[in-house]
Amino acid sequence: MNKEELYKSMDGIDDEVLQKYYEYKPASKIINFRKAAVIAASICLLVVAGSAIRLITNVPAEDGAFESLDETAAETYSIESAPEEKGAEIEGESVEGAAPATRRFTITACASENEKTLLDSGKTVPLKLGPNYTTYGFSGTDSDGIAFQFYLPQLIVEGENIANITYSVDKYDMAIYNYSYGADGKIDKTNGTTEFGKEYTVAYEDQLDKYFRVVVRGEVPSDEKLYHDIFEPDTAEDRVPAINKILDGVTVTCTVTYENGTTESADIIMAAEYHTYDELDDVYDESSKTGAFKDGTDVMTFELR
Amino acid sequence: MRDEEIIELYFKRDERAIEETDYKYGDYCASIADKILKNELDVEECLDDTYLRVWNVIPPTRPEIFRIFIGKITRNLAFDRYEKFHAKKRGGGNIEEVLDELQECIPANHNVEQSILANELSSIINDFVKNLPEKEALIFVGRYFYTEDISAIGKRLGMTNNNVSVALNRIRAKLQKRLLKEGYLAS
Repeated sequence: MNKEELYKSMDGIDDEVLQKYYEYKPASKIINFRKAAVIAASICLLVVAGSAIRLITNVPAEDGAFESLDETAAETYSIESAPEEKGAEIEGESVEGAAPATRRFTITACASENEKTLLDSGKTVPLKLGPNYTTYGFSGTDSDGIAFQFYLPQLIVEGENIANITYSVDKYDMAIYNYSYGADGKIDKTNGTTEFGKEYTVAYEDQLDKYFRVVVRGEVPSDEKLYHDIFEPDTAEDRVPAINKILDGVTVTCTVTYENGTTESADIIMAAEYHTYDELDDVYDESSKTGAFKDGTDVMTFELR
Repeated sequence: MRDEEIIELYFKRDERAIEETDYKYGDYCASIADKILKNELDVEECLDDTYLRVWNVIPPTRPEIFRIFIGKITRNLAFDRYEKFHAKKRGGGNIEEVLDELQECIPANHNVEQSILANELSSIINDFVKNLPEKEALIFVGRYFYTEDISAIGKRLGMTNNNVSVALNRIRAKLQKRLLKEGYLAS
C-alpha cells in the first residue's frame, strides 16, 4: 500500500459523513433570542413562499406539463412499481389473464411484490406504476430530433426446461440497466451498469437473482407538432398519437431457448393509451392531476403476440 | 432545481441535466478539483470529464446523495489527472501535503507478504471513520477526502488551526494503529 492508494480509499467513506462535513455549522456561543425568533420567522416565510412557488410552477404548462407527465403517465406504463425484494415469488399471487395454450412459457410483468400481471395474447395491458418509477423520457427540440427512452417493467419468464431467455428489439436500440441486490435483499439502485446492444440474454435461473430492465431507446426527427404534442400537449389524449408515432409499432421479442436447444418466441408490442384516473384505480398523486392531466393520463401498454 | 429533478433529467437523457448540474454544483466540484490540481485549465477539463462520467453512469445509477456522488467522481478524476501529470510537475494544491501526511499513517514494511484489495481498504477506512468521535470524523474527511487546508477546516468546524493540527496528529496515529492491526504495510 502507498499513500496514493490510501488517499483513493477515502472514497469508501459513507456519503452521510461526507455530507455532514459539508453541512456542518459550528454552534453559536451567544444566542440573541429576539434575533433568533426573527430569523426563524423569516425562514418559515421563505419555506412557505418556496412551497407556494413550487405549487405554482407545478401547473403543467410548458415544462411543468412534462414533469407532471413523468410522475403520472409514466406511472401507468405497465405496472405499479418494481419488486423490491429479491426473488419475488409468482406462484400463489393473483395474476390477470391466462397463458396461451400453445406457448410453453409465460411472461409476467412485475409491478410490485404483490402486483404482477401475466401478459396475454391479444390483450393490451395498461399496468399502473408507482411514483418515482421512470417509464419513459423524451428530450429534444422542435427542429432537430426527439430522443426517447421507453423502459419495460421487470419481466419474468416461466416454463419447464428453459435454459435461457433473450430479449431483442426489432428497431431502434436497446439498453439493459442492471442493478444488484444488496445484502438486505433490496434492490441497490445506487449502483448499476448499462449494456447497450440489440439483444440481451439471461440464464433462466438467474432472472430472479438479477434485477434488470430492458430499455428501448432511439431518436426520431422532430417537427413543431410532434414537439408540441410530446412536450406541451393541450390534453393528455394529444400525447397518445404522438407517443405511438414515435413507438411506431416497436416490438420487443422474447426468445426462450430450451435445454434441448429448441427455441420459442413471443413478441411484446408497446403502445400508448389514454385512461382516466378512475380506470387506473386512482393510484396517482393529486398534485399530478392538473392542467392537461386533470382527469386522466396517457399510459404505456403491452400486448403479447 | 432539486437533486431528484436533476437526476430525473439524466434518466430522460435530457442534456439540460448537465447544465443544471453545472449551475448547482459547478463551483463545488471546481473547489474539490482545485485543491488537488491548482491549475485552472486542469480544473476545467476535470469538470468536463466529471459531467461526462455522470452522464454515462446515470442511468442506471440513481445516486442517493447527488452532491456527494458528483463530489466523489470529481475527486477521483482530479486525482487521476494529478497522478498523470505529476511527473511533469504540474498541479499541487494541498494534495502534496495531504499525501505526505497519509504516508505517516502507513506502517513500515517488514517484508511481510500482503495483498491489498482496494475495496477492502475502503471498507476499513469507512469503518475507521465511523468509529471516530463525530468531530474527529469531520476533521478527517475535511483533510483527507476534501483535501482542505487546516485553516479552512478550522473555519468550517469552529476550531483554531492549532486544534485542528493536534487533532489530525492524533487521528493519524489512530489510523496507523488500525492499519497495522489489519495487516496493511507500506509497499
